[in-house]
Amino acid sequence: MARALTVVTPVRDDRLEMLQGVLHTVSDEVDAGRAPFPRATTHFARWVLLPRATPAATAPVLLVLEANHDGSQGGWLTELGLSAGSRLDAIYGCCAGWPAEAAAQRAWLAAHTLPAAAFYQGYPDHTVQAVANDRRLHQLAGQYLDQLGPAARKRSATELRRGLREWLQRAQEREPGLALAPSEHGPPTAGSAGRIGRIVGALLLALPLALLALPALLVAAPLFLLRLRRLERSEPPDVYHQPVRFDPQLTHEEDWQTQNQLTHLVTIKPGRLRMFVITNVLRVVGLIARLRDNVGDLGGIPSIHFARWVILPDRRVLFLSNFDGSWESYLGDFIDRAAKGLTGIWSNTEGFPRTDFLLWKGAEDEEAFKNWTRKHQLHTQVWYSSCPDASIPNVHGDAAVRRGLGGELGEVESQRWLEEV
Amino acid sequence: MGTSTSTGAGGLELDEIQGLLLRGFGDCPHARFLFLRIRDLGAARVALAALADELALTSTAARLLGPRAESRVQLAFTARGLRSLGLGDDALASFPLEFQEGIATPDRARILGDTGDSAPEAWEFGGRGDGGDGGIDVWLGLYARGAEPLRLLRADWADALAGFDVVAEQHTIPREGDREHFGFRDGISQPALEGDPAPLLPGQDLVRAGEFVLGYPNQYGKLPLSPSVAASPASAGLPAAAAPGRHDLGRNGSFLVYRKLEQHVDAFKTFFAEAAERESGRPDPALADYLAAKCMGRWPSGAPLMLAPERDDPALGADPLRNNDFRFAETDPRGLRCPIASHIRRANPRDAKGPDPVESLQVVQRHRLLRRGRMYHEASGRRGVHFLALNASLRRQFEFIQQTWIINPKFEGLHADRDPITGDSDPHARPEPGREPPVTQVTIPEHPYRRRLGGMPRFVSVRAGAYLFLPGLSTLRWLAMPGAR
Repeated sequence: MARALTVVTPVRDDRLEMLQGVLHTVSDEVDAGRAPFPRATTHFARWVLLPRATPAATAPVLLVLEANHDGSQGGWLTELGLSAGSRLDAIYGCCAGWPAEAAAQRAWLAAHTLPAAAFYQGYPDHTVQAVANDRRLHQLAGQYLDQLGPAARKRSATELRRGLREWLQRAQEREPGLALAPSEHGPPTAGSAGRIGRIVGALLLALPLALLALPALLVAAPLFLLRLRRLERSEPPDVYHQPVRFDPQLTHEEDWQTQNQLTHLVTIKPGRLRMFVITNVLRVVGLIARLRDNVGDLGGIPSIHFARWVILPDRRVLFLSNFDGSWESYLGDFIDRAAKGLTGIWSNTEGFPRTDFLLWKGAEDEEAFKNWTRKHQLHTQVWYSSCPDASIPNVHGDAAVRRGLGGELGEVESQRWLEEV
Repeated sequence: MGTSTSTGAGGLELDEIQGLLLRGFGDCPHARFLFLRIRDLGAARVALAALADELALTSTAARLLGPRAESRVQLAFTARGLRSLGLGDDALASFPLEFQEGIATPDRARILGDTGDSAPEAWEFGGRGDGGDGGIDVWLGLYARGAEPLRLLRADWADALAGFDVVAEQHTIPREGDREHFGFRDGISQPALEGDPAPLLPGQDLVRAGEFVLGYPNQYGKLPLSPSVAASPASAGLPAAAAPGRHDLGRNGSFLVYRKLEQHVDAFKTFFAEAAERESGRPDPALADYLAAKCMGRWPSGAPLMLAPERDDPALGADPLRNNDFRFAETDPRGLRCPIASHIRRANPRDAKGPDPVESLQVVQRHRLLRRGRMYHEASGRRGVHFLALNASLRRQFEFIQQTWIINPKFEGLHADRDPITGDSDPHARPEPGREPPVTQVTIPEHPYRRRLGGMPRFVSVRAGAYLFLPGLSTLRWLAMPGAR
């Protein structure tokens, strides 16, 4: 199971320009295959600059480091110190309070982390190394089929599978790092069954408490809805009669590979009720994400590798996503498959299209929702993906090829397995 | 506006809508497309006003449902054209960004797969030469019943068009037996516009008018955003816009994609012949036909693999009541009949987009096009199709289909497959190390194991293109009016 790390640090005003230059250099280095992140344990990572909370105020520009990594947080930060080397000083030297000593630096980064209000991962049982291993394995398996002559079409699937296994075992002699069985990927991760068990356990514990709170809830709920309804009628939504003009850098940095990223930042509406609602909706979304995270989709969206919402102390909510395919297709999935969930979250933020009772309308207003999203989307300075060519179905397909190598399969099962290769 | 009387069953203002939105002008098999640049604004407006009169008389959707006409005309404008006609920044900013920017920007070329020999820099017209904006103001479609009436129609308008430079004059050929140049029946699967009085064919999608015509509810139940202009005495004849103090320019209009697509017919035939010969060790035309059909998803007659998996069935292919009446998800979830990568499965995934067939049908209807293309065959031997497609949202419909379905190597769980017919074989990744290589293969699922055709070149290259606005009649007349906008 991968972990979400979010480090938010204030940028010194006098070093802002310098930092932009450094991040630009680092971005070029990432494109050239020299990413500063720990290769073996980083799925996705980014550095992005957030504008001041209110333009007129003295609030600093913020630097956000997002990482989706295997292993412990402390371990990853230590590795980052090694893999990033002097780049880390160049970047964080532009932030207020960056210490000189390596050990203190790690503690400083850890002290600046913020928890994700909700975190989703598309393949929690796959480490970075497992993804890469299965990808290579699948590639080699494909090569075996490609080199077979026409006569092979007369062979049985069982026979072909046997030949393929021998081919891969020979490949393993040439590439000793190649793992053919799941146990060869290092320590086993907690199975999804165990995870679901823990969550169900927590829910069972929560149940009596919820029952105790029920009378209070019955009184509070109508009041809550009444108050919410009044807010929904009075808070002005953005009205889009024409397309929003957004930073052309956004479309320029999209669609260079299978995967894309999105950084989105918007202020939560004023008042305690909105803060209460968004915090709790995100809690529920996070719980659902954990329950469903072995299925490989978030609210029916099959294309999200990693996504998180983070509530900043300055009342802004940050959304960071790493996904497959185009922005248009991603936003389309949002609207077609997950409009209610997203409306439940973002209707608590400024300018969101008008909603009914928290969950209805909102994101269903296709053009308004897309315009609103672009309006609050930010250019991402540095973005890294360990396997930019792998879609989520690819990750699962590669793993299925590996899993099908073990044990004995009948002719029909072998045939079904060969369809994956 | 006040004179509009004909409305279809869906409330469509048929007198206001250009006929191309309803039909492909099958009664006028001869056509010529003129790409014009305004030289003399006054003369150009006079010509446009005359063309608008002609259009009102012969070529609106309402006229199309009436008696057969000798000839028809249609008009559309690029963003540059609207500016040339006097539209200000304020009005232009109310058009969709992709229309304002045009089809030939570098970012757009990347997502559409217009790279390598198909890059806009190399286009015959409409590309990034000509001052970067394509150099085209107006598309004029001339349609006629015969070759001679078409020649006469062109001659009739020659003088009136003196205020324009003709940037390109594109000829077309009538389609014989409904076959396109690769030899396959084309134009089978088209959505039906809600409000069209023609009966629905089996397997045909009925799509809400707002997916194609501005001013009507779309598949989300919303009115599409519509371009507008600040209200003035001159715009008083136009309907009120959603925004206060503005008049609507979009109502009864649509966005038209034009692409000149050259088909490399010899390369196409050779590729499949050689692939078959490699497999069989001798020339094997039957296997070549089979492989090509697997790539298309239909046999040459139009018979779909879903209904005719083993061999072509010309009677089925020619029968409009049967040749489009199929789905994928239940019978063929893994593409053993009709490969996931095949052209027709990408262009219209029907019920097989995602795991839920019912949801898929709903989602897919938000990404449909009305195709109105014509074929060409030039004296030089070059041939192909003038691709014309209509939609209310270039971004959600044309661009989405092209990027997310047609040229996407990861379409529906694929690993690295291109569209075998219209796919781009050029890298659309940055050419740095570690980036994805060009995708030139196609997987054909079979038992006991898949076939894989590799090393596919481009069979279709882009030679020209434009994003155009096809206005309703009131807006067209307003654009042609003398005086300030």
